[in-house]
Amino acid sequence: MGAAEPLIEVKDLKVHFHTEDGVARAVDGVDFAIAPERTLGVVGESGCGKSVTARAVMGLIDAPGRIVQGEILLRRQSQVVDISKLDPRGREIRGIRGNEIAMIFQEPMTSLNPVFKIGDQIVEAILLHDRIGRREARERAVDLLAAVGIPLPRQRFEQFPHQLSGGMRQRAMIAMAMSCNPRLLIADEPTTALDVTIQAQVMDLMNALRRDFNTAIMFITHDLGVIAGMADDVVVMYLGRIVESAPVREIFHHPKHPYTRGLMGSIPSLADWGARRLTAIEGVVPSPFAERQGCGFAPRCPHAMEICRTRDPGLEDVAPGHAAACFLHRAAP
Amino acid sequence: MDFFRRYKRDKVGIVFGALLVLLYAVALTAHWITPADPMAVNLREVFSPPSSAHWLGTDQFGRDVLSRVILATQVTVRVTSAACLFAVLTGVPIGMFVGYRGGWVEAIAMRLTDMLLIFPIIMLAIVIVVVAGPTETGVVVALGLAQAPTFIRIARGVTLAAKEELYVEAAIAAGSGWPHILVRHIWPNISTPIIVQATLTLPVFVLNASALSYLGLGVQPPTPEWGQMLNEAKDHLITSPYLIVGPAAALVVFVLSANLVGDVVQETLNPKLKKRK
Amino acid sequence: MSTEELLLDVRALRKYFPVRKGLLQRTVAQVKAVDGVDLAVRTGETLGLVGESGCGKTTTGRAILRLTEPTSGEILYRGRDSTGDPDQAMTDVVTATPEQMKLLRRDMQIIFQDPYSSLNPRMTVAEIVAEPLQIQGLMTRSEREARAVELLGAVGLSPDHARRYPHEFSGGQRQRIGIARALALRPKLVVADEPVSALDVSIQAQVINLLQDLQEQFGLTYLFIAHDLSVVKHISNRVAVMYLGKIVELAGTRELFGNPKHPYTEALMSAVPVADPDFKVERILLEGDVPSPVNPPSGCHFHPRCRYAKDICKVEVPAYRAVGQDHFASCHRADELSLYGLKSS
Repeated sequence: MGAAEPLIEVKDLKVHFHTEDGVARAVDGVDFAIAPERTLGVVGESGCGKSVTARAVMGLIDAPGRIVQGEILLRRQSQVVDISKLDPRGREIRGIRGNEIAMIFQEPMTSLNPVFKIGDQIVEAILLHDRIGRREARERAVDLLAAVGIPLPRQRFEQFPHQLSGGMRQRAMIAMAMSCNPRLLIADEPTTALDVTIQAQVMDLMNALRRDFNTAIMFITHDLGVIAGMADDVVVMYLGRIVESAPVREIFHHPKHPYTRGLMGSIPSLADWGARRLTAIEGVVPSPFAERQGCGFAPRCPHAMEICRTRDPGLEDVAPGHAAACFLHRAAP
Repeated sequence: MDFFRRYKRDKVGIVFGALLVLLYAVALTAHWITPADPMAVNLREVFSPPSSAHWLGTDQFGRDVLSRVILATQVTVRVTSAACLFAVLTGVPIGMFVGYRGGWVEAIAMRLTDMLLIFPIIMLAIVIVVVAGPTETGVVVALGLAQAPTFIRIARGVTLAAKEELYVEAAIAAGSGWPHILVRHIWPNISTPIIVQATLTLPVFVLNASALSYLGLGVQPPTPEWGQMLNEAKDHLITSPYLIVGPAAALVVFVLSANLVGDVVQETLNPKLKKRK
Repeated sequence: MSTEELLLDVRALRKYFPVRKGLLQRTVAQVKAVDGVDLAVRTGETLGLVGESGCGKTTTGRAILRLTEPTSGEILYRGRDSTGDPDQAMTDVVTATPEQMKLLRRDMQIIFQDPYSSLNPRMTVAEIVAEPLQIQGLMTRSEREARAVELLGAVGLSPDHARRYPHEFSGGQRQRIGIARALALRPKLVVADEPVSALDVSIQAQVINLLQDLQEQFGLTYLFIAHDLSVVKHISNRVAVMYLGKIVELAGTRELFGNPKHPYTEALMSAVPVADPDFKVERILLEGDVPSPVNPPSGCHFHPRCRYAKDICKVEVPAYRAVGQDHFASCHRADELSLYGLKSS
């Protein structure tokens, strides 16, 4: 994925949740890398592990969750830090969080404090990471609010989160996330709770910010349409694993994994007329508690073969830069 | 069931649950386990201190105190259970109905409930006992009425939340009226918090019952009741202090166990409440 | 198509919610959630009702079933007479007596968005599905049970699911149970309120296909409420677009998407992300948010966000009128504008 040294590299990451009902393998061996200034789209349905992966990169995995294996390598100027080995409450991760990696969420209200003014929260975020005066931080906050397209930024500065609409809150949260010029922005379903016209505004904004701030983005969503409009590279996740990974055009025009194909066949598109019937993926997503045997998608896969039920296909290249975890695309084993 | 599996993890719950079960067992079997006739007057043996014949001594009429405490347990359990049932059976349907109905009916009912709540229970009891006479039924009604507003409030509160569920709307869309919805959709989903509340208020019933009989407004002599035994014992506190031990201990153990068991039940059903380590 | 028989004719439907304030709970304002909706649903069709959150589409659906009492307006429904033929005169749902209403409810059912809140956790699946029959006093207990099993089969569940409880099922399966319940009374009209938007992508397709199969099998008429334009376009014969309590445009699906007459429809379509990185559309970014329905803008409610707005749009409410063959829109400039539509290929 791109020739540049990756900004972040995740290797064989496993995050398990030890609960009363057993061990949930939320993330079960995930590898990917994000190059500077690229946008990686992570697609998958609920429970596929995409949000947990993002939280792991942020160093936000907490009990009952645990990183049981793997590395999350963040490349800094001179050295490489393994985020998975840092104490989630420690000093070092706090220096990375917000500063080098920032995150925005589906519901902005969860990350904005309802009792403080929007502007003051952004000022706090700036002061936490930059040694500048309060007045200067204030000016920068107003500039940021303007940069994320909030009209009348000086007035909005004085308002509380509940006085803003959903779209405006999401913009304010983006402003807060961008306040320290992060090198990686993790966006976890940032447009899912928004109406389409507002979603279009926010997507537009994020694309503009990406150009202006040279930020790499890890964009998590279940919406293939949003991915098509945002991502450079795409990984598709299912049951805690990546089943396919490729540049965006490649994956939309030549999807290889039956799950990716299934997803694409199961959404109606504004662009096509006529097709009366959607090709649904049969069955339900299995429980993450279940012991995995063979390919996780085999029980729902229309092309499942004998080997799929017994052996794990593993992610292998099917074309340059395009990998899929599927025996269909292998030479006979 | 899942409930018992989780309940069993709590040591406090096990110990005090066992105590409570023991008290109820004593109450149920009182007639067979009393060492002596609790009513038998023996004027030759008044105020005898604890001995192997009378573990807790004898009172001013020479009656065996242990036997009287055991019988009193039965009386207390009978009176408070009946009163609790009375409070639930009057309070819950009213609370459910007004909560579901809403509007001005609810507003008026809740103001009336508030008025009943600020009315001191002793005053209420005096009025009822004066009207009904100091019978056990009178006591049950007084205790029950005093707690009914609590159940009205709780039932209304949980009903307000339960009626917002979409399956209620689905039933309306199928043509259902309010009785069906209350019975089929609201009650099964609010019964748990109400059962918890009933366990939690049990000690209040016991204390109120004892308070009433201590004041002579409750269960009438010669039938023993803890509060009334305490009342009699206080007159001889200097000369025969051992008389107070039995009823006081029984009262403390019952109220404490019921309180702690109520807490554990609530935590078990609603693990989010769990604050203790 | 225009000669087809109407099943439902909604006229000037309004639903205002009072905004109360203060100790005395005085009404200080009205939320005009539905503000004069005219909507005719034809027998056997799927009419899509689309709009953003707060536009009043869900309230419209609920008011039609009188799950919320309409403030004013008529909801005319064509029932059946004793011989099973369509009634000549239509019944007004709004003024129906409780007895009439109970009978009408056999004909009009609803499917909800949230598959969790819509099933009573204390009832078995069979009890849930058979409940409408029980409420209506139809059939014996064992007949109802048999019918429930039959309905479960129709929605793709197996008979041994009947004795289980809702928490044992996934979101998609729960939605199927909700659909089976809605069909128990053999309704004519089903209001589907965002039936797939709470479901995972791969499950959405299953439920959409199921809804289409059931429509054919049982001759259902759908009022399909959704915010997802792609889904609405896929399933609907005709589509109505709502904005701030009013219908701004209504037409056959092809006509509406290919030849929109209202600028809001155009903007809404262009905002939908399409799952094709090479599908280039002219993005029409609407400025700002949907205004509050408490105090909607003067004139045309859409004018502050409309890039074609002229002076007249600020002062005069545009009439909802025919702008083409079976095509209605409320825009002063509908005839002169040439808006961007999707090309049918």
